[in-house]
Amino acid sequence: MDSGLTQYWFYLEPYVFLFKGKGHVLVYNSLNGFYLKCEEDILLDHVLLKLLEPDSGYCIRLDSGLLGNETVKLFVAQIRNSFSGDLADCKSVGVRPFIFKPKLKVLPEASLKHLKEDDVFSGRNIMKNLNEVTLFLNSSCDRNCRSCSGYSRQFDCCLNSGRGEMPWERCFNLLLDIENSGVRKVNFSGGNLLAYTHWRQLLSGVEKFSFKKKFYIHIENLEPLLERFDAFDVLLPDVRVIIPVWNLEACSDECAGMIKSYKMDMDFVVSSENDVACLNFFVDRFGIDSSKVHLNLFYDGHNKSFFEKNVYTSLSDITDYVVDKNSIFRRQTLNEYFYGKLIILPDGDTYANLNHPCIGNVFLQSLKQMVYAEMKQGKSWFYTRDRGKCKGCSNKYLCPSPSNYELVMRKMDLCSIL
Amino acid sequence: MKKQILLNTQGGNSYYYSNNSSSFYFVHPQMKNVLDGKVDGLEPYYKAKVEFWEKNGVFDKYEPYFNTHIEPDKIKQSVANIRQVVIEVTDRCNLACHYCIYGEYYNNYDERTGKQQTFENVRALLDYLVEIWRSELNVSFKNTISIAFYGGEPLLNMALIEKTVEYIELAGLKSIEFSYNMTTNGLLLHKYMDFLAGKKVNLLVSLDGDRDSNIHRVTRNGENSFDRVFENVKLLQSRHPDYFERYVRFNAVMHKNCIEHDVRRFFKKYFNKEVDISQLNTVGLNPEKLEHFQSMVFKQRETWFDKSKRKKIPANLKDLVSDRMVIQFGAFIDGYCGNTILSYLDLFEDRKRRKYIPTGTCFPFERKLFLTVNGKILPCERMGQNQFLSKVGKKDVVVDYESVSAIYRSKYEKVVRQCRTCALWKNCGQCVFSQKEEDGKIVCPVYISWHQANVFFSELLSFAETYRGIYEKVLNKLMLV
Repeated sequence: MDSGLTQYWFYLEPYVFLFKGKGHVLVYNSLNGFYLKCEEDILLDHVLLKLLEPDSGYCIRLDSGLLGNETVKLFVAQIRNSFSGDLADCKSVGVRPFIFKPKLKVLPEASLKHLKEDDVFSGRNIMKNLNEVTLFLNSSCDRNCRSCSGYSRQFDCCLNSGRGEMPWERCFNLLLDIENSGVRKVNFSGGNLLAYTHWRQLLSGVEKFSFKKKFYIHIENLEPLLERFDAFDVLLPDVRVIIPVWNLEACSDECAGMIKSYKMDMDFVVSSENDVACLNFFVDRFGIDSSKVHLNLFYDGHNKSFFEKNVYTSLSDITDYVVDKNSIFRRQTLNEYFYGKLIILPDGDTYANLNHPCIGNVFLQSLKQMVYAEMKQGKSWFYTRDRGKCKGCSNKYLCPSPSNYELVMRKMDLCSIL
Repeated sequence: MKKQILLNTQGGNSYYYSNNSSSFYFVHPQMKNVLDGKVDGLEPYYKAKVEFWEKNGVFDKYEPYFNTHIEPDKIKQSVANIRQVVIEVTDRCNLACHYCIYGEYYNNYDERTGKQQTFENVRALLDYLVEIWRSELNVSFKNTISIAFYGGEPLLNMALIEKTVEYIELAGLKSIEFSYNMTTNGLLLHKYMDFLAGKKVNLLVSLDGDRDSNIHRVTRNGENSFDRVFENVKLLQSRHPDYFERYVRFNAVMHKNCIEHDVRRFFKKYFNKEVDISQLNTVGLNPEKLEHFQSMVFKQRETWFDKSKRKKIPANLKDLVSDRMVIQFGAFIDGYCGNTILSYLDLFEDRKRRKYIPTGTCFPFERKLFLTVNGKILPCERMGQNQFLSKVGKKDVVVDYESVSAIYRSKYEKVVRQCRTCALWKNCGQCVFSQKEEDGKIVCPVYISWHQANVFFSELLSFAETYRGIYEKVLNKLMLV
């Protein structure tokens, strides 16, 4: 066709993503984080929709007439200036170029969800997907913390589950199973883990396993025993001390000193700005190494404003950092916080996430069965932002995966963007 | 700016392949000069763009880290999670197909002596495997293990097959499902079809099409086997229609007397089946017979795209998925576009820290374990039988995994130097056991430098430019094993 107009190929680079949102399209450059939200416009929509077509190869024809439109012209200029794409005179290139859009392909052995039940790929080497297991070995604890059942739904912590105590033989066999499956990390917790009847057997038994170990112990359960470290000093680098900041006065100077000298990790639980201030004071006072200090924010149902300030995602949280292609693929596919993790209570009830229903009992079914079930139809490991209020948002894969906070607060959009 | 190697397509475009970022970049005509190292008098925009790419590692060299050592424990775990056990039940055959891999054109197999497999060997092997499958090394769930009966012609040792199936059923392994597979020339189907149907044996019938196409599949008297096989298959179809529909497939070998389109039409017409078309094996060819093989028998399969020269892609993916060019394109996308993952764990891994094993050789026993009539154990039936990894002893099987690891290591170390600079390293289809060794060195027959890869990549990019819809179809639908 010869309309007298100059014809151009307009194309995007293979590191550029197009995300559709409500009434707009977002262009994102995963090399430099260039972020362009294109609001509804008849001509621009036409350009973007064409680019989104499956056989576009990220390249469409534009003529000089269309490029004369201010909106389109500005759009093209922004794309070019950010090195997200370019214009090429059709006469100066060969045929329409082809650019491989960044679109993830998962090969069959990984993608159980799309396989039929009797497919021979089902379940082979399934255990390599399990990376971390949390074992609650007992329930007994004298602390009566005010939000005991709430903490472990939001972060790794102890829990008085009321589910009794795990018999040692079962625990040991489970650890053998876990070791053979190639799991890299096991968290041990209770109740009061130090009150576990088979504590000493646990100490001597776990040494032979190659997975990383962490022992979660509440500060008030730990303090009485700090002087008797001969019992478990070999474990000390692996102990994580849980310290609700409102309990800081319960932590004596001697205790703080000993925790510091033994280089234990400290998981502080905070739920207000005041808590954070107290924590900072505590850390400064004892000169605690900041690499050993970890903050767990706790939602108590009444501190939404604290979460709005410290947890909610703002647009600048997204645009200040570059989200690379692999991260986008990861967030499109699975939940980067939950994937590969299982939680086992003392009675064997097993969860992929404590905020989701139980997926089975490890003393009645095998660990493999449960991993298979979670991979095939589970709720947690593949819990992406493609749901609820986030479903229609163009930022959904630039935001991190939903965390426990979204589940506990029953709100996907913990952000100020929507 | 150092000069970069550009790929030029038939459509007249240039692209740059970044090994470091696993991506193809269209090279704007004005940028071409910059990449050619000619920077004088150029638009600042393109200089800046090249600098941007440089800063983001587009031009960085990426050399994969190859690990030639496979942990013996991992090999044992591979056996514990195996996909298939192939048992050569006999090396006798009631045909004398001209292109048989145990015939005059090949020389990498044990001499065929009309030997039958013994149940003692099979039992020893199964006892060994069952113990491993029951162990904690089995990290699979709902694993389906295929037991494949291989020959010669497997139906010539039906007694062994029946005994093996019975033995497996008695083992009572609840956590594993077994399926049975067999490739047969069909001459004895009429005798054993009831058993095969009863055990739901996945049957692959070798038949090259109609009587004319079947010309190389002859009896020892030189008689075309077509009539007898056709009659038997028709009988199977009528006597066990459900089984026939679900479990029976056909394989036709492409040779000079076949026209692929006619072969496909034949199977559709008489059996309502899509036939698998395979190429004649080119591994282990007898050099003295090579010329004869190439002139009389061998024929490279056409691709749909060669034949049709049409630009329209068929809506029916079935027509595409077995096409050689599409399969090649799919492998190219998987290997070089950086958008394919084999496992979800790849999404967490830093690619630069990943270790690779040289060549495309299957991980030992990852796919299968092959037991020959002579009691040799190999990881595949396509390997020369002189390269066995273990053997069934008088009473039992002992696999020395350290020794297996050492064998693989020895092979890999002879070839890894080439792999490091080979452009096909991500997409290698070479089995190190099929490569010739001379003076302690292995010369890879398909090695290409990044410079030489230009032609290969250009062809596939041209394909993408022409058949634009294939890319996303391949991403969504076509799965490569």
